[in-house]
Amino acid sequence: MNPVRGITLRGIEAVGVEVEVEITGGLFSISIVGLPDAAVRESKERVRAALRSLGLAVRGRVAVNLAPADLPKEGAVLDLPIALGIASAMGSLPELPRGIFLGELALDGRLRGVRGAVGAAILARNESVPLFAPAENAAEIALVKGCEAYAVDNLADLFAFFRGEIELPPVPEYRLEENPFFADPDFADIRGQAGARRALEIAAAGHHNILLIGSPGSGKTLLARALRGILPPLSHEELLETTLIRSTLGLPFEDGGRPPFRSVHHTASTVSICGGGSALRPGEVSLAHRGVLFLDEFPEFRRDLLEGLRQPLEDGEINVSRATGSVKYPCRVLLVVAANPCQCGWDGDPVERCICSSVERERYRRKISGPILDRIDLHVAVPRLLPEELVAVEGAGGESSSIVAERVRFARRIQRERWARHGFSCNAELPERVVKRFLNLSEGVRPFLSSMAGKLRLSGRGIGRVLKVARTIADLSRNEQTDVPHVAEALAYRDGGLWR
Amino acid sequence: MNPLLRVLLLLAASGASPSRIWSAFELEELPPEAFYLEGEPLWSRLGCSQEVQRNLRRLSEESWPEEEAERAGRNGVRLLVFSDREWPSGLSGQSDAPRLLYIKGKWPIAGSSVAVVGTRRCSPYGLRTAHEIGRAVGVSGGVVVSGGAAGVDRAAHEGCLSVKGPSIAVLGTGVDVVYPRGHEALFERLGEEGGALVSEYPLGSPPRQWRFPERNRIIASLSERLVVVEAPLKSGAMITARCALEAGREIWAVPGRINEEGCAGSNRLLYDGAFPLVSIPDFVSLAVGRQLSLFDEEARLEELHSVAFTEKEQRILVLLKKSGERTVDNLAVEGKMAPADVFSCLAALMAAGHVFVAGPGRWSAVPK
Repeated sequence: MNPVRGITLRGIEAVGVEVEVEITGGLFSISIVGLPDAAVRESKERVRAALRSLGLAVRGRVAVNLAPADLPKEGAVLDLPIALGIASAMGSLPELPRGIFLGELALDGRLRGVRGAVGAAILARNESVPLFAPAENAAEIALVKGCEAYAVDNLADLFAFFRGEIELPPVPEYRLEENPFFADPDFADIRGQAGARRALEIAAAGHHNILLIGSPGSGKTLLARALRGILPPLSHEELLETTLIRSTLGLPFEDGGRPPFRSVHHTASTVSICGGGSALRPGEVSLAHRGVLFLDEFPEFRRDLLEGLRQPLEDGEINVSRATGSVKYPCRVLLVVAANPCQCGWDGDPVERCICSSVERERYRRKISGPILDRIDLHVAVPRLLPEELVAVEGAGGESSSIVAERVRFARRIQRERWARHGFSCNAELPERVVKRFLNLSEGVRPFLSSMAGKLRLSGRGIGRVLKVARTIADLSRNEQTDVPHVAEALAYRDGGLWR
Repeated sequence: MNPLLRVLLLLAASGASPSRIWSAFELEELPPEAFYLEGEPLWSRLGCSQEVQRNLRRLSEESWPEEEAERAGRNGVRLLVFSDREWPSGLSGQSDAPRLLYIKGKWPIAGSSVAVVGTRRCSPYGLRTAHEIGRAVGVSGGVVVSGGAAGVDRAAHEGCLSVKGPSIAVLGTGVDVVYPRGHEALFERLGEEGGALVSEYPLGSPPRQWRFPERNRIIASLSERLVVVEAPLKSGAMITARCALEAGREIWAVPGRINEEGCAGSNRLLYDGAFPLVSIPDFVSLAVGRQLSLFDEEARLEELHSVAFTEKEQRILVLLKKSGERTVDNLAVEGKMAPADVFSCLAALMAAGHVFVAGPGRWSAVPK
């Protein structure tokens, strides 16, 4: 008997599964063993119908074994290998070539796209065997360099290929397009908010997490969305990482190297944000990997959830553990957090009246400060611009996202080169202890900082954060040295949002 | 135990109004110990309700006054009665004046005292103004008296503390109770850095609505002048102003915008004849009775030592002095600067104490 190889998912990783089929005489029945989930168990109906569409009638007692037996198998991805195994056991197929097969079958024998195709492609590459996958998954599989992959439309084609009647089209290697993607919304579309735009530029350039504080309608969400357009486009490897995670969840492939943007609502469950469930699925924080994770209405998030996010955000990966096992997902995200200045949102507004009591205000304040906020380098207030103020700044048009993105990309390159031998890729990643040694501070900075530290009540950690941001500002202006004006500007983002 | 102190402690905890009962008792012209020796017949003559009488009886049987005095001693709280030499002179004369004070911190505190009061929910501008007044009074040797509440009170206390000036908080709770929450550090500094926490309520008294208006009369009497920074028509600050008027104190008010409810009370005071506080140095020179050349000198020195302002910083400061509550957008356009420069100027000006954040993303010049 010749086992057929398929896969099942364990986290984002594809694990090889051998499908063995035995057919004995008797009344027709199919039984599948080897910890199949409901979707796998139901595959027998799809497989039987698909084979019938090719004129193969399955008869007798069919036993399908999925090895290794103790690994839970999930999803419809095993339809194709089961079908091949049965056809092979019936003797209707010549010797099968080595390879990994995946695909969900339609009743008429067509192949539908599956979750986890990218993981399967990586597995196939590592084992240097060809991969046969549904044509729907071809685009994302193409990302895996050095994988011999074939896109299959339907079962009939595959059988014809085995019999040597036709050639299957190999999946071409993916080419990342050089032309920059379309920024939506574009910085040039945002009226006013020059301050917040500047802060976002710094956030993008140094990968600094950022907090936006402002009244409702001031444009926090718009600004957060615009951040996506100035981030450097994903490299091939990064695109592969993000696609791998998306593929695990069955989300469609996103071409163009646009960094992901995931907006999380505060009512979302811990599992949906951090990942988990019995199938150990990745959560929003992993979907935002290499992109932006946006937490709107930050103080409304549950405390335990935020506590749970703290370590993963620092480490860039999240460990999801359940009774069924544990997996690591990457989650290197740029965190954008938005909050109202108070419960009702109008504290400090020039027109509207805040109706919060002092107790409410105090409670809100306590919610807003905390462990996660300590990890956010930039705090920026987003003023609600009054109509007359908007008119006054009308003339000062903003730069378009592409110009800003160019500066950001340059600053990132400098940082990558500078920190390469230390093992970091951007300023925000610098650990506290190395900050002062490597920032190339100009002579005036130290006295300036010590004169400020007393007046602004800066803590040691606070100074470290200010210096990191100052370094990014210097990188943006292409300065070798971190100078006094850079540090002064960085000080303005220290707690610009919390003014009481 | 001193019989007078014992009686006053009994009264403080009895649930009656101590000032009223004591005034009635004084008319009887009896020695203090007669108060508890004679007991119920005297108490009902003085107008104590049945409940108060029951409380008095219970408290004296449980020797509560002795225990309270012991507790106070342990917590470093002084018990001051009206006959003491250090009893503040401003607190004598009215029939409703307190006869017993719990004091935590330094006492007596020398210097002309200025009460700075206002609403808990004030604007950032009001907050900053209170802070600057507190600072100016503190730096020129005066004492800031306020209620230890959030908003204006707190800003005034902190302004005074920022220059190591003495500041008195008159509380509506026991002096060992922190209310509102979040004022732990402030109260600790007040008690330890040359200021004091003052209350007429027994130790451990929790916050009760009616105690706060009551303590306002002490704020008014303890100070020579009262400044109302921002107060709506119906507010504790207006009650303090009324008490101050009755006690014959000078009343000042900071002019506010006439479209804001939060300033309606303080503006009404101006209409009724209070002194308008339009310049902090002028007010302080009057209030503290000292020519402020010293203060000015100090400020000038401070400015010399601070980072000299660049041309850009001056440009921003001039714009902010013209009109406050500006956003970075407006400053960038009017000052013809990049937003990055505006930020770095604002940070430097803020550190030098010339600019403050007046709302989310809005900056103003510090009131002078």
